[in-house]
Amino acid sequence: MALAAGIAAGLMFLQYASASRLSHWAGVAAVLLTVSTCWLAWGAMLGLIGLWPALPRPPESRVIAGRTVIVMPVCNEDAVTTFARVAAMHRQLSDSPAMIDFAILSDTRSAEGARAEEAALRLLRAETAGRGGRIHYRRRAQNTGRKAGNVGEFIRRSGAAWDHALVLDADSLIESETVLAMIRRMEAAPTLALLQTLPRVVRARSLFGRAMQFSAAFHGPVFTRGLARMQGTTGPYWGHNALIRIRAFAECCGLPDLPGKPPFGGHILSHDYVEAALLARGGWVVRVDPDLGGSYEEAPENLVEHAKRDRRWCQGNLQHARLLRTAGLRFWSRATLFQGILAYVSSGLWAAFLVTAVLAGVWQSAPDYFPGIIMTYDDTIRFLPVFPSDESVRALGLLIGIFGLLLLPKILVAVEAAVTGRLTGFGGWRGIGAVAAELALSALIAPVLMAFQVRSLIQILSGRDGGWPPNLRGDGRMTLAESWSAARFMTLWALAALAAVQILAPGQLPWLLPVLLPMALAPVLIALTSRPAPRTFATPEDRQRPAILALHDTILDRWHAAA
Amino acid sequence: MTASPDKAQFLTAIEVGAEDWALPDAPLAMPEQDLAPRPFLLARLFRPARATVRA
Repeated sequence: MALAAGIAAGLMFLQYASASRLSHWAGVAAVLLTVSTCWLAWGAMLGLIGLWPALPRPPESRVIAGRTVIVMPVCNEDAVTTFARVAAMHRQLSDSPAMIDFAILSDTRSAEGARAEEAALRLLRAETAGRGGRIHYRRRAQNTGRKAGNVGEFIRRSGAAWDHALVLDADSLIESETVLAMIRRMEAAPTLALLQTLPRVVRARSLFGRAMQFSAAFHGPVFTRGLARMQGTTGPYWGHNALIRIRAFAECCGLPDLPGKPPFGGHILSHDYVEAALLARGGWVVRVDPDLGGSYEEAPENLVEHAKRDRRWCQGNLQHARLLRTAGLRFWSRATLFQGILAYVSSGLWAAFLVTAVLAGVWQSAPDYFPGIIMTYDDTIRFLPVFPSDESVRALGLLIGIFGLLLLPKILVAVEAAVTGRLTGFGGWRGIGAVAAELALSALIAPVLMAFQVRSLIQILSGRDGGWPPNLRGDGRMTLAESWSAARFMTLWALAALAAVQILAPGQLPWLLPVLLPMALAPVLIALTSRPAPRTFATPEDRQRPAILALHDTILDRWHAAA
Repeated sequence: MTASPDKAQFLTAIEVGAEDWALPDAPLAMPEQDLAPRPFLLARLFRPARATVRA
């Protein structure tokens, strides 16, 4: 269906462009539009497949036999906040009917960061003394292989001490009931090697962060259900908030360095997709269970931090092009790697489509109003004018179709939320207003994200390694000067494009303004959306704070007061 | 005195005075996986024939 939608869009564009003589540029633009629309339609399909609610899984009440370790890799994080998360989860699990330990695996490089972790470790030690599972800590002086190398080293050194590992990120929190449910599900399914949860984004404060948080909470479960139905036992791994069977992971997931230099060689950056593919190649089940609640993470508070993370993911996904033909991978594993590549390439394709569509307009020949001689019934020769057909209706239809692919799944998710009662958690009918506001904001910032991704693509394809910059957590508010410094390149691109279109193809300007104006105003958009907006985009977690978040806040307040 | 490779590379909790906090010594092999591409279709079609000749 996605392919059919893409081909239909390409043909409609060709019909629109054929109002005058077709140029080569129009052909190129039609191909680019076909591929880009396929990608949009694929996303829409996932949403549609996920619309139907799943039957609830029967609760597992089996006695837990295995030993579990909760693994938290950290690298240059705020030590007190991060270690307080471990304290909160440790406290919740201290009376649990399972053997659960913790391992904090530090890759922090700076001496100052190391000292902060040692101080936080003492606080954690005092907080947890005499209760619950053991807590281990180690810091590597060399962060070889980054996060995958960090976890890999832990497994090689100490992996045989436990049966399962719950892999977290430094900003992850997970409720004890969820941890126990995951362990029970894994012990009930001997071939299950990786169980992924859908983490809910929490604690966003800025307008951008809260809109992303709302979107993830509102649309995420439906799209993830679609993904789970589509991929089945060859499911996704997102690198954290997932339980792994340690022996299966050790057996299948030792990652070699790729030959050559970064960005395409060296360490595998986006290791999670590859690890999921290798587990599936080894005959193990990889599954995402969207019904598992109580799993949380935090997300970037502004567009620039989002773009920085996206730059890393972009490089990691493009690197997967070298693994598409790896021997023995299952169909969905290859499809997942390909989708990851397309997710980033599609921005470049959209941008290239816009450029070639303008060029097609510039190069189209002037209409020939008198293409031939007309013989009339009385044998007189006349020159009758032939006017080109007005194809603007088709162009409008094409635009509506593309926006339909973007909007329809989200509108149907809103209907699903209303029918199933899920909408109540988002403020009832006010939630529908939030859906509309999120759609409007997404439309406004989509060109900005596209420009950031196009720049990332250009950098990576020209051989520039983006490295692994640390995530900056915190309130993330940006001044106009900081925003200008981060996004002036796209303002200049947009102004140059506006001038070029005005001179070369002024008739196309109205079609391009929705893309070029947000790009031109990107610094203002970035600064405005990074401002705190606590009352916008309510989620169920705002209405009722999850117990693990409340416990983390309590411990953190106490530690800050003691410092 | 030269530090052992382990000591040089891994700073365990022992350095911060929390002896119980070091990771347990429970090694588990994690072999590097072969990520080489599968041969193209034609190469795969011809491979059984070559194997037969060798046999």
